[in-house]
Amino acid sequence: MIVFDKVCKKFPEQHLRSGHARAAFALENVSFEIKRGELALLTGHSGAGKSTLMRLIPALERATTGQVRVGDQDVSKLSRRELPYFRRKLGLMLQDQTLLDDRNAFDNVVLPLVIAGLRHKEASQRVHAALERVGLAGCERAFPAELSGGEQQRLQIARAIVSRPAVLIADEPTAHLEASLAAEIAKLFDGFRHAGTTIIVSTHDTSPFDRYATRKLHLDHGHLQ
Amino acid sequence: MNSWLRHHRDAVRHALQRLFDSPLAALLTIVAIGIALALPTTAHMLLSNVQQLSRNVSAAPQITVFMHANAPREAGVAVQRHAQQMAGVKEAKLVTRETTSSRLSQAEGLAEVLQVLPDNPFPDMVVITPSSFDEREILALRQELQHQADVEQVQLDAEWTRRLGALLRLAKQAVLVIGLLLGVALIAVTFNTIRLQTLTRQDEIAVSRLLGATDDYIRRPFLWFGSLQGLFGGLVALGIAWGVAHALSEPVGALAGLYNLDFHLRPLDTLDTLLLLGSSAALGWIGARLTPEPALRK
Ligand SMILES: Nc1ncnc2c1ncn2[C@@H]1O[C@H](COP(=O)(O)OP(=O)(O)OP(=O)(O)O)[C@@H](O)[C@H]1O
Ligand SMILES: [Mg+2]
Repeated sequence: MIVFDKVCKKFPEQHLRSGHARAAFALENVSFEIKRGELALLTGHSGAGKSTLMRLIPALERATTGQVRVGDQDVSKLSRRELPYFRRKLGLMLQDQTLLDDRNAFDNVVLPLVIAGLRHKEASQRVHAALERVGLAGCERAFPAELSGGEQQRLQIARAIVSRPAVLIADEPTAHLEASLAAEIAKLFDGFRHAGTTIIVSTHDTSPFDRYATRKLHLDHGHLQ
Repeated sequence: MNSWLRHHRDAVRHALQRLFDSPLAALLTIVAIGIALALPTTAHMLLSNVQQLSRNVSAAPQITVFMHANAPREAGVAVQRHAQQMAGVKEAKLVTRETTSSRLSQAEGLAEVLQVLPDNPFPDMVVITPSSFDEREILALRQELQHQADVEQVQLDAEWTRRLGALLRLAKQAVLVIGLLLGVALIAVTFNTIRLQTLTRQDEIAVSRLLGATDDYIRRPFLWFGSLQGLFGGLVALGIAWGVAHALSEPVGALAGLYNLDFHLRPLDTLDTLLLLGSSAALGWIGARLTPEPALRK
């Protein structure tokens, strides 16, 4: 389902503010395959390249060399026109917060469905179901600022799954969460996997996802171990 | 409802919401646009009225044939007879120098002047009412009358309305130029508003892109915003023009009454109204459409 073939990613030379030499490549010669319905766990130290790898899948970044494939789609060959429709098939949870502060929980979660042009009634049913799934039923009217860190994290999960994507990409979905909550989210993801979703998750602390992962990928300075 | 319509409905909703999010700023922009558009709109409306008025006045053109001062009475009678036979002449009247003199001596102040003069200074005149309003036919009549014996001069009494007409056409052209310039200003104002909006909405744009929004989806609310802002500006202009028409209608009516004219100041007609609203919305759309791609790409 997700295939990386000898992928290298090099960012344009940075101004060497600190004077430290930086690794030339954020990712170097990374190859792996994640099959349909797997839950892959991506680990590695800070700066190892986890987020970079994740961002290559929805083409938020483009590989310098090598190929990234999702299904039978070569991501690097997507045109500007095709890209939005491709992204609609993915559920995305990025490391940085991407909730809109001026919209309440409902409006945040419904956004992917509005973009896809779904009928209002069906969209709102799906939003309620997604919010219930992540334990936020009844929080529709709350604005992100009124939610705790863990609730915001779960709101992002709800938005990522509301369009029932074939692939779920979650960058540090349990960061800043207490262990019990992290375990709950890991269990939630396992549920998605059993429903047929292909999932790739990155974490610092492997514990909550360890028992559910069907594949483990470890990055060290841009190299897959 | 299909998804295309749904997208537009949502975009309109968002555009209106953006207008109401900062009502004061929106109101000021709309009023500014309205005032800018009101200038050419009102000028156009007033000019149309004057044009209409000049058409009414010139509806009865007259040709006056002045005979030589020392021409015999028969010459004037001959011209009158001849004119009556001519095609395109409705009526031809001989006004003798005695009639003119006695009529004018009844006018205050003129009697004394006339008494001082040794002779009757007036020539015989033939006043002709053409049956047609067509300028070319009237000019042809004038041409022919000019060549009659003992004719000194042929004067078209509608001359001044022709000059007025030319002047009005010139004024209308000036209004058109001003309108075009202010149209460009409207585009610029809209462009700037939308550019500021894209800056404050970078997050929303980025997140929407992340979730699979197309270029059209991103652009749509901005286009609607520009169009609606322009449309509301057009409505303000319409209101101002209407107010001016209303305020002027009484004094203008009174003035027309003094000249025994049946004249009422008319507000913009339906076609002009639709043209104003349509073009103000279209100009707003253009201003929004000019937003550079990179501002929406983030
Ligand atoms: N936009 C960018 N421009 C330049 N360099 C970048 C950019 N994004 C990432 N990098 C560099 O690429 C390397 C990998 O970064 P990445 O964010 O993928 O690490 P990470 O494994 O996600 O770390 P963390 O666990 O802290 O999130 C780092 O050295 C980082 O500085
Ligand atoms: Mg990261």
